[in-house]
Amino acid sequence: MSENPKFKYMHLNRELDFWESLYLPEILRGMSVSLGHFMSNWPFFRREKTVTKEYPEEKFDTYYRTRGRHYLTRRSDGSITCVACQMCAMACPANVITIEAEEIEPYYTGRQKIDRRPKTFVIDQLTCIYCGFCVQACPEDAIRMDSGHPALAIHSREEAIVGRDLLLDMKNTKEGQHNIVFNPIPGKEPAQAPFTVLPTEDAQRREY
Amino acid sequence: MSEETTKSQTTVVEDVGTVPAEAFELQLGPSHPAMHGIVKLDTIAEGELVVGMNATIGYLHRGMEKMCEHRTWDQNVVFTDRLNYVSPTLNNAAYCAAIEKHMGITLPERAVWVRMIVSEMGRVADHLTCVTASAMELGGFTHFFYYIKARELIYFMFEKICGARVTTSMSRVGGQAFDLYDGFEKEWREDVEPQIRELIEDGSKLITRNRIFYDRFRHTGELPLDRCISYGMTGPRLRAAGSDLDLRKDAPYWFYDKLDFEVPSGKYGDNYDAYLIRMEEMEQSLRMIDQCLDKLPDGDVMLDDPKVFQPKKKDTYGHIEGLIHHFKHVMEGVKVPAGERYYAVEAPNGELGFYIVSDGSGIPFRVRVRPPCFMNTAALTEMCIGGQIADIVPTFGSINMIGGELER
Amino acid sequence: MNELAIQIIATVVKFGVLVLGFALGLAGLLTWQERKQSSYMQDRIGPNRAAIMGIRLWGLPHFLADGIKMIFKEDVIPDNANKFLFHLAPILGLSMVLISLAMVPFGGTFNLFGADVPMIIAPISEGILLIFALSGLSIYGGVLAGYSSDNKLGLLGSMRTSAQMISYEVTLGLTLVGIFMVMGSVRLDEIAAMQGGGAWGVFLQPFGFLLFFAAGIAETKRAPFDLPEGESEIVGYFLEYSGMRFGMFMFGEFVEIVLLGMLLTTMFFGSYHVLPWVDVWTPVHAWLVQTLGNTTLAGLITAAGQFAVFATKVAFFCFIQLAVRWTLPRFRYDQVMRFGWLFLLPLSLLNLIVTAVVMLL
Repeated sequence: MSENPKFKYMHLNRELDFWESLYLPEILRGMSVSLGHFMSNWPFFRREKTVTKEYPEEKFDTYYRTRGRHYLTRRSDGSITCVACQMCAMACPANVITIEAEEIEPYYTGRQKIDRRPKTFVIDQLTCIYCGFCVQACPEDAIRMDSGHPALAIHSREEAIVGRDLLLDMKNTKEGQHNIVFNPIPGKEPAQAPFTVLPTEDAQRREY
Repeated sequence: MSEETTKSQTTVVEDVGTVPAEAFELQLGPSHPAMHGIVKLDTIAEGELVVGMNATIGYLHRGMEKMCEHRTWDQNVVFTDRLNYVSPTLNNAAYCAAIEKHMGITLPERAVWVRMIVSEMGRVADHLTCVTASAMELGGFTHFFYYIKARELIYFMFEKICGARVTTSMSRVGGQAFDLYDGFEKEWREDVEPQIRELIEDGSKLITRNRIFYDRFRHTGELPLDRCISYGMTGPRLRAAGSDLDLRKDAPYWFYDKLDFEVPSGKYGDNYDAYLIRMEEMEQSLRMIDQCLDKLPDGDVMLDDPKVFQPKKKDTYGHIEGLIHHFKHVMEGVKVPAGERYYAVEAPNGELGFYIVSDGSGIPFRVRVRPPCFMNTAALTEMCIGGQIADIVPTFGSINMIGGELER
Repeated sequence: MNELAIQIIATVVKFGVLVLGFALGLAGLLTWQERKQSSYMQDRIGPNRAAIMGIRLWGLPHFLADGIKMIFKEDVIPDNANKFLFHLAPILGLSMVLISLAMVPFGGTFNLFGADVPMIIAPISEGILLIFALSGLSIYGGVLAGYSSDNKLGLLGSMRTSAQMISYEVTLGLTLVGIFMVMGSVRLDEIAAMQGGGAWGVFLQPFGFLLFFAAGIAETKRAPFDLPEGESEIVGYFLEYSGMRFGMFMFGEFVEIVLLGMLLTTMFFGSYHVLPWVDVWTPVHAWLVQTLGNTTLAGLITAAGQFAVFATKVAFFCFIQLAVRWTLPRFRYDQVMRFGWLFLLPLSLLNLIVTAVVMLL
């Protein structure tokens, strides 16, 4: 088997030869590798090969699929998109979403009649496992997780239990310099000021 | 009887009566640097020589199989992330494939190819971790950082595909929730793969033929083939002993029969064989990903059947049928016909099997995981006895015990 | 001033410069250097957050932060530990190494204020032999630490320490016999001075250099010979130590690195001399005396230059040692014994015989 030319490493499965058993040649080879890395990183602090990011100052590029902290979206008139259908709460494998619905005066946006909205919408973001099932389960595009809030940096456990209003106003929080994208679905009217941040193309591409 | 009831495997020392008085007990773990906090090795040592050992597991038992009985088939995907958390994509795909096999549905071709790509990426990540963890236990920290850097490149790609590095939850019953993103192939071929190959090569130069490393790995943790088989071991540790059992070759699933790859096997069944086999499998996996990308067809990665896979968002938003299917899918889950099925894939550690029992509802009656490293850990005591205390660590690293998978 | 007073003052100054200023300073810097160098070897950036008044200096204040942390950490002593030995061990480990520094020359002999002052703290005739004796004693640091702390892993560590250090002491001594034969002296200051106009030790004893380097790394108990510590197997002989007591072990290790660097420089790489076969310092000193017209001033300037050359070489060897430490994996206990007795020792004996034969011819 080991003579198979398609193998790259199996031919090394042999006894040590004379030079290898002298320690020194292989030690020098290993040191040439590690010092090679050193020399490409150290002189003038070039850091050609380093991958570490100095986090608060420089951040990783997150792709639009990144599952960050949840937030709730608004309709173009500023009302909450969520209709309290409980789909996200049902789809959640960790049972972290609690929704209490309330009836409101019916009104129409486009062809849609709205007569329900959540009275409370609480997510325990510490118990959450960030699987994204709630986003997938939402029939209204009301809850989103995206690259906008990658970090769950909080001072107490209570802060992680996030209610409706905070979820809506995520963009006003300290780390919320993300793009809340309204109405990414083609055919729906685009969002209006004052809540608008321009829709990114990324969210348009969400299929699922 | 499931192994939860037998928390520890005792290997009886031959001639217990002749253990000399100088032998002393040494508890390695659970709070020992090399034991990851999840296993305790009660060792009996004569000086540096290990004469007896008893591996106690169970420090990471989370009741995953029981939790599966309270969630829908789809929701359970998140638990499979946490089995072998180094190659989560592969577990996701294997679990969903088991259900699909039972339901008798055929996936769109692209879904299977994508599963193979992410699975092989997961395998590379797993082998990188395993190889370098056992090298790091020997003090080879530089090697560790090279390989972890390579693994991190793969994890970044996972994040771009599905939104999370480790808890990927990529698959669903009936396909993949996430297709590869635009430019995946270009990024993999031009950026990531050359880097991974270079880092693997660098790491190999550091240790593979270094006599210190060779002496530490060669003829340590040896286990002959018949003992491996009697323990039910699979994967690299079995192949190290000379077998060439690989489910991808011997019982081809998905499209593995369309790929050109080789299965390496070792000579002695020791750690060095296992190390080289893992190195070789990484190379073969990288080759396989290349071939998969060549053969990747266009199309959907999810089944267009609302009974199985949640309808697309534009149907949910636009059509009342879509909305109803959407609601039914979330509330009731996928209806899996009553019956049972065992389905196994070749995970990095060996045969990863899912035994599913359904009563016809959307919630599993029973999900049983056959974790490959459970059998390997059972053999750990036999591998270590007769060696030195210092050999426990590389042997332990080389069987690649993953706590999440071992105890679920 | 009489000569004795000058000598005493000079000794104090030399102690301040070499031990307090150089060796301890370099050892402290090495704690930073080790992290930074290893991080660059491993494609990381390394620590760079500790700052003094907002000035980070590439993480340089980390070694101060380390020291402060070590001092203020709780000093845990196990209940069943032998308290006396437990307290004694780190002191033994560190102090023996520090005393060894006294025998290392870092410059020639100069006429300062009318007295001939050698640039070595203790110009005693035993020289290197005393260093060996002290390093033999410093084994007790490791042995007692593991023995007294009432911990099986620590005991294993101390057994490994004693076995390893005793075995490698033999090789260490035998390799140097070659140098003594070639140089005809056991005094480090004489060996250093002899390399001024002549060949450096490494050209006369290339094998001896490699063997001494290997055995020396084994004496410092660092990778690939760090099995007394063996952080992933047995946690090491200082397992139960915390706070500054642990810090003394760690610091002792770094001072040993500096000491090994000094010994390598002194015996194999021309000590304070700039070039092999060319004596640079004699003409420079003569020229300075002529120009300045003041032997004391000229002597001080020359000594400073020699010390700078010496320090650079030592720093280089520290760098090499760190590079070795971060490249190689660890031996196993029996392999270290085999390597020491069956590989290094025969080779060093062979080296000795060949040296003797060549010298006879």
